[in-house]
Amino acid sequence: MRFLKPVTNWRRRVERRHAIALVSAVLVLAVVPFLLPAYPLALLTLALAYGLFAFGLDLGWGRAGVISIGHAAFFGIGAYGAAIAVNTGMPIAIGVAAALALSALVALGIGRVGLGGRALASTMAVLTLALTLLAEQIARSWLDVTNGSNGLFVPSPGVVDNYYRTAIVALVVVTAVWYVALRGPLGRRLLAVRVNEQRTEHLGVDPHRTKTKVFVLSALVATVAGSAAAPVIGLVSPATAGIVMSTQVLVWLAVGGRGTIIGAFLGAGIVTIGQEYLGEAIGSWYLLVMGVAFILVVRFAPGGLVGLATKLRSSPLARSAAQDALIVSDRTDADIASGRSAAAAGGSNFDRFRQDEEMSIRNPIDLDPAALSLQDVTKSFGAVPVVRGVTLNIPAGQIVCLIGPNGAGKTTLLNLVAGDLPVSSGQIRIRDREVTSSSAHERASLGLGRLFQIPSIYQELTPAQNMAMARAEAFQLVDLPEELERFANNSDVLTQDLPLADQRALELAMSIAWGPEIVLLDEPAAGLSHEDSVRLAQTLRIVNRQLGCTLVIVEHDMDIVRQLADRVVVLADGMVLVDGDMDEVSAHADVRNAYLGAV
Amino acid sequence: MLELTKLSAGYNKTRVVDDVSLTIHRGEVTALLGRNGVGKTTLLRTIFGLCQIHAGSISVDGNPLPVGKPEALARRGMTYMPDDRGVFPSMTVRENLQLARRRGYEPPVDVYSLFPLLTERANQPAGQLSGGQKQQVGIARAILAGEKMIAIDEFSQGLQPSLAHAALQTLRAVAATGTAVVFVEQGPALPLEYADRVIAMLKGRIVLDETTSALREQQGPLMDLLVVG
Amino acid sequence: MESLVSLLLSIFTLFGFYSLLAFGLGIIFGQLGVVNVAHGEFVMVGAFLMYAMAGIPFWPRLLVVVLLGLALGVITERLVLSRLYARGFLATLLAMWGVGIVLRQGADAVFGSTPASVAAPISGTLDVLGVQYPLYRLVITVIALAVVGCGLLLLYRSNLGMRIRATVDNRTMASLLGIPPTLIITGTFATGTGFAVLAGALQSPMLGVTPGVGVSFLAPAFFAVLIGRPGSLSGPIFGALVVAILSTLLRTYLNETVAQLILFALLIILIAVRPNGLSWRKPQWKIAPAVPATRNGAPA
Repeated sequence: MRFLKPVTNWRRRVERRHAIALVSAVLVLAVVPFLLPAYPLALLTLALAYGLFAFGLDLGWGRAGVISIGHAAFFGIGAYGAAIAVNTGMPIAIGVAAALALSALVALGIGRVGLGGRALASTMAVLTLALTLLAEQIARSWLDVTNGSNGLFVPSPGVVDNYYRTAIVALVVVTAVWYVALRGPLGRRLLAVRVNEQRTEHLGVDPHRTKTKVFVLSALVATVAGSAAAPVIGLVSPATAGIVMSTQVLVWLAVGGRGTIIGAFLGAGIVTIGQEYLGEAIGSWYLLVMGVAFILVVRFAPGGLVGLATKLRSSPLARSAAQDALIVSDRTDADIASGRSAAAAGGSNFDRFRQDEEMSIRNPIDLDPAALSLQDVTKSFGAVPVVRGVTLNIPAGQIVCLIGPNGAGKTTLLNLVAGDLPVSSGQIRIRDREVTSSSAHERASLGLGRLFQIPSIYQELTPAQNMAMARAEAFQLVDLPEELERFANNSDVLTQDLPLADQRALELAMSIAWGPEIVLLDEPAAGLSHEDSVRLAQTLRIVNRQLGCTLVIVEHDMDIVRQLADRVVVLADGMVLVDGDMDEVSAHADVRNAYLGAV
Repeated sequence: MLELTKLSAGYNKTRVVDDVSLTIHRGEVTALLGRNGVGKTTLLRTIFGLCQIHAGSISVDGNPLPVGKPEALARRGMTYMPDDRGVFPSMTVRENLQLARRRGYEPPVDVYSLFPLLTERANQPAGQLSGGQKQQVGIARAILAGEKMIAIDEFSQGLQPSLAHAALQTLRAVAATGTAVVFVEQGPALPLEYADRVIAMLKGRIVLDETTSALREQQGPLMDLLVVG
Repeated sequence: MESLVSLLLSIFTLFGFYSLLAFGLGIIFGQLGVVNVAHGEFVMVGAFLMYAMAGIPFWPRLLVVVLLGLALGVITERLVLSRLYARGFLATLLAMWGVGIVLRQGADAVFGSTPASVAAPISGTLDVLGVQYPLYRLVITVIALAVVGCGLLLLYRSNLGMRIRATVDNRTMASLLGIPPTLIITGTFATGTGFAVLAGALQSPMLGVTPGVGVSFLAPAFFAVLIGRPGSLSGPIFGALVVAILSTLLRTYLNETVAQLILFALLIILIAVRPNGLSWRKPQWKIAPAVPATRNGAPA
């Protein structure tokens, strides 16, 4: 469904500045051996291999916030793969291939377990730490294969050969990963997951899968780096896979700057070369100084050297925000259309609404069977029941407002429908699809959009990038009502600097641009001035009329409810108290009692 | 005693309380009314240093309040029960109450006779109590800790009516010794019966500030603010 | 019989050491939400301090070392961590990793990497059901368990402990009742550090003390915390027992590498099955029945 189309997209992915950077990198790397004496060249070779390793770590840590404090395990697997192949007379390619396969397998296992939605955030730290300790232990004790603490000797083909080999590997790997992954859908999703996992999930992207993918990729790059480094280091010992090495790579990346290619190589280069020259003078104090530098960077300059440099040199806001990810859809319109119909599976109401905008959507008899239906849904937190048996059928195209006193279970009910909370019992269906046990992103990919009490948007991106992200992951293509279009060209600010009313409007705009069939809104007017809330209500009406979206709105502002609701559902004490139009509801004595407290 | 001057506050950039000026006096029982999301809780949280002040100031007995330090207020005998009741779930009822006691202050009323549950369930972890039972623990703690001021959010939430009445009678007795009492309600019945003064909020602002006796005469404006429809 | 006794004794002594480690790690994690990846280094510092001050008699030296450990904890928390909590667990984790690097490399720069040794104050063995067991090991295990026991007593029976638990349960509410969170937080971190330093100091006569010695203790301590439901204060001690039993058994019957491999596999399985740790609390008898329609004056 979502195929990579690297070839057709190359013009979009490679901008002029990228081509210039690549060409200059090739030229510089090609010329260097003619300028440098042997020893510095050997050091530079090592720095390149280490830089590639740091780049690998950066894919996970810098781009997706996936922490690995034992990444040297993968580097070690690569180094040993090459070393064992050389020492047993096998072609080196077989050793490297085996190492890659092993790394992928291990990373996949750890990622699946440690990056799951329910796993604690510290789990990855523990697992990767244990992994590096284990790798070092195995390398030390598996004498027949690894030669224990003495390590394996890998002959060097000569300084210059070694240099070119390493440089080519680094260049090819970085360029390929950059082009295929970072500039492709994966890069976009990594950015999305790192900046706002919740919103990304409600755009139908599986965050767990995305993070696991990048962790595997990150492990693979580290493995390649290890293989490339083996002949440069000369002696592959257990420390290659061990804790000190794992520590070092974190330092390189932190010092250089996370989330950038140049930062990984710069950090590795400075620290490695510095260690060689300064290490002579101040001995083991050097690493101590690096440790202090690491703390200072974490504490005061999370962006590292590159971060400091970009602060001084003003680059376009949008570009630095996106970490060079390309936020556009890789799919053609036809892809989206077919993807939607595949996802919808029961047929969408969308087209019909578009053809017949004027049709009377207020008459429920004309409509399809329920867009959303809840059957006896309950939810308890521990022993406390919050939702106690709610049955609701919401026809497509209807605007339903959920009201009720505090603690009635309104937000909880939305969370149950959206998949942010599991139900205790009961059944939820979206169209004719049973989704009771589906995760939030699975439900989203059936066309379910969601807005939160506190706007959930990509705070660290610009409004235009927010809109682009929603469109890139779109469920279906829509023509956005004018009022919501205004964000699409706003690249001058980060959304975190917008006032609340605009943040809310943006959340609505991106959710609608994503093309949902059903939208859940939790107090969209809270904190808005009267004028803003009136405008919001008008916009919601337009969205409903023009696009045929089914809206389920939790709202306390009765002016809005009166303007909007086709139907009002009053929840009290976790149950439906009254279900009808506004007049019926306000006339109902129980409702007054529920609000005023029948004390 | 407590004075708010042109106070605006909220979370990060979100302004929830807008330009509120207000004086709370010792010995007075004040009810804070309004629908959901009008800023009642944020107002109380701001007073107790849990929300950001965007503009304006808060002072106690003429001294400006230390920012972001609820414990400083607690040491002066001012306490707040949040709307989630703030019980310590893993600790027993007795420990919950013990933590609220302050050296040198004995409340003028006996919370154990007000809420017999506190003795009956003394050794049960507070997390196992029902919502209404937690509410009793929370109110009892507030009475134990609040020498100068007691603020209770969502006062009658989960509380059975008889206990709500009894608790308010007790709070009036506490107020009579010079404590300022502020409680938040959604409905008008309890405030009209027990408060000296009723403040109603709408969209972050105070839209009504009247003595209860005046309101009892004419309930119209208050009802309009609270009722659906 | 004898092999069983010596096995049990090994488990017992390892349990003493691990419980001290896991308790310290657990309170730092439960209280501050900080994944203290420098915990092993604090152990190492304790051992090196014992080595460095060899002139002082053992028991007074132990006291001095623990006091220094507490000071180290206060300094680390105030200097490095205090402003990082708001940036989330990743920032504090990395900062502590940095502290670990500094301590490790600092020890390397000062003491070098040749294993240093510390003399035990008690020599000789004790006859336990026919097994000659080093007396010092038994003594330090008793001390370790006594310290952990006192720690638990302090937590569950004292006024201070009550305040600490209150802060764990609900930091905001604790501050609303006049408990200063910063003081409690610094104190807790220092205590956790102190436990680790004490563990290292007690264990030092059995170790070849090197700068890298601490790292290997981190994984089992973490394993213990994960088993014992992270966030709970006494859970890690139960976890320490499980880890002590497992690793002693595995190491007795298998070689080191296979033992470690199996432990790692078990860790992964545990996390896969129970991402939030095992709940080993007593079953709760009094689960309030879901009473229908009576609370909050539900509409008639």
